[in-house]
Amino acid sequence: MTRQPVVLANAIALAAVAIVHGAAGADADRQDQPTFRARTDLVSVDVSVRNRGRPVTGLEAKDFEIADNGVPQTVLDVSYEKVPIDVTVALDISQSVTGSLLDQLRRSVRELESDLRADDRLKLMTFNIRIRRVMDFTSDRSASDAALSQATASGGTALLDALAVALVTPVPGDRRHLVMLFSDGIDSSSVSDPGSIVEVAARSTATIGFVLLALPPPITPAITAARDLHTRLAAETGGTIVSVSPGRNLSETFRRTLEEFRSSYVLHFVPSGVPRSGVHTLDVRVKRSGVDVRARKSYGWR
Amino acid sequence: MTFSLRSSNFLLTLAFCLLPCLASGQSTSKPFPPTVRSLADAFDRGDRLSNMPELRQTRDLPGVIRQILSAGNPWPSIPRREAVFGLEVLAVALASDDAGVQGELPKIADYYAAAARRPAAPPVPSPDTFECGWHWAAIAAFEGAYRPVPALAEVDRALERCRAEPRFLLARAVLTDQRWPVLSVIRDGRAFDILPLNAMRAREVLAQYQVSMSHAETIAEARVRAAWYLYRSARLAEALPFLDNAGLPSADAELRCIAAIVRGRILRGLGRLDEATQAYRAALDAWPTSQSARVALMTMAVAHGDRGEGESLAESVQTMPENAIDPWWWFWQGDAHLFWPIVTSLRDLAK
Repeated sequence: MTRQPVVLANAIALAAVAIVHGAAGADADRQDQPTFRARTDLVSVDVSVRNRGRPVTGLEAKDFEIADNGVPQTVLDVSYEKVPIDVTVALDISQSVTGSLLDQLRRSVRELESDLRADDRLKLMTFNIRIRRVMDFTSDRSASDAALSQATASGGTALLDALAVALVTPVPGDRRHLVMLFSDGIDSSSVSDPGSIVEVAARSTATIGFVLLALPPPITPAITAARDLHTRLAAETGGTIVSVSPGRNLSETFRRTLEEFRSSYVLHFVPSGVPRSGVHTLDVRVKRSGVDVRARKSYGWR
Repeated sequence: MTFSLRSSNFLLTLAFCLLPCLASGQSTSKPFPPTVRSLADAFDRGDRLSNMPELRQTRDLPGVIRQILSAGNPWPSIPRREAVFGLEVLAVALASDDAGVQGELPKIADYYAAAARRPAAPPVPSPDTFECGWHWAAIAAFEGAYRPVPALAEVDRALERCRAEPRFLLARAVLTDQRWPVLSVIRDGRAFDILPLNAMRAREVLAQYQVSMSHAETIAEARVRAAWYLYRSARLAEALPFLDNAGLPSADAELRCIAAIVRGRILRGLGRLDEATQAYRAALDAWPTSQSARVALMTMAVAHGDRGEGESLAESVQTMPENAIDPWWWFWQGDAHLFWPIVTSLRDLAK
């Protein structure tokens, strides 16, 4: 299946697969064997539908409503758990992340690797003031140990800059992209201001999953503002934010974040009645009551 | 990088300061508590005290520090070596979250400031380059730890001794800025206060920067820092003129990079996106390994819808050489990045 998580501008280059119009009535069999024809104007949107925390399965295109800049669109196709995933794990290794916490992070990444499927890939970034890619996307399930073995904690925290870099880094058009960011603090040295990072998030194709260590009191206005921004960024990309108490199981949170991302739908539509430029707002709904729907709030046209 | 050029005059003087009192020699065999003896030996070997298990792994850091202070000088024949040793003790204490250690900070600063002054006994001598360098390092350590209140006390002490030192006046401005932080976010052309501005405090911070603008050695940096302060206060239109007339020394690439990044932030906040991009390019020209300039350019490219350029810059950020550095990383910490270079110079003097 050809897919660029938001706008399929380079889908032609991925001409191995193609999308078929008029797939609104796609049934379960169609989901198992999606057939697509390449389109340069296809928009794909990750949509999480949950009921009391559990994923709602079996939905079809006709169950969704989607509006692009307020204009209703036709959902062409829906897939569920079929698209391979690229996971970027960005780890805060600033001064405060020492000893057992660093070991816990290594263990968490190792366990996350074991949850990846054969065609999924993992990339590792670390950041303090310096942003580093310590392992590029790979399907090698044993590569993270070596990549993280040299990681030592020091320095400040360029959280927003690291997130921006992770979001802008492209993944192939036929894959979904989850950026999972762990931090135990707040930003101290980024050049990115909140406005620019929100803009990057709005135009990116990735979904953010924050895993944040709960900060001890006092909760200062700066901490509150940072957490508000993280919440906004997660919401902007249809992602999640989990606050973990110190000592709690980080591995479990990493794995749950991946699982929540995996168990979401991917909708496809070709925008009509809207200009083909700039940032578009998105509004995704499900024609069922009592379900929580989470999807990105906008996408950027190339 | 070791030192910024704008700090080099002071450091050059420091490097060439030949003080007759600093005779060569190892620590004496005076019986000291084993912990203190071990730390003194490590210092003699050139090891950093922050890496020593006696300080790094102890569960009673306040106790160890008290032991060090009460033990006296491990180098009676080289009195000032103890003062340099003390700077490293100060750095360890500042890095600790232990409340008991924080209570020891004034004692550490007082004790070793006296050790930096020689002869220690009355009459009090005029300050020399070693002593002023010692104060500079102590202030830098406090700035890096974001401890403005004790740091301001250290600045007062430093200015009592080294009255004409412009960098201490600028340090006072930086620390006053740290003490009363402001933070506004510019979003969609509007300012949202996160840490609201107190007008009286803002005047005080700017007045301190103005003092530094009257000294040739610090005028450019003070103007850049004042502009950054005004940016964070959402006073964008007022901020820009400080950069327009900053008189940046052409040889000071570090400051030119920082000034260009500050200009880019302001212009972006004003919605002048093309000019902001130009400013960030100027930052990268001034300092080609600046990660921050690359990230800023990357976000501008994304804002302009140029994902290709953004992706290329993202790739370059992630693959920068291990030793690449960026002056933006330490801008908010005053002279903290100079702490170890100054300590190294003082160590050389105190052999």
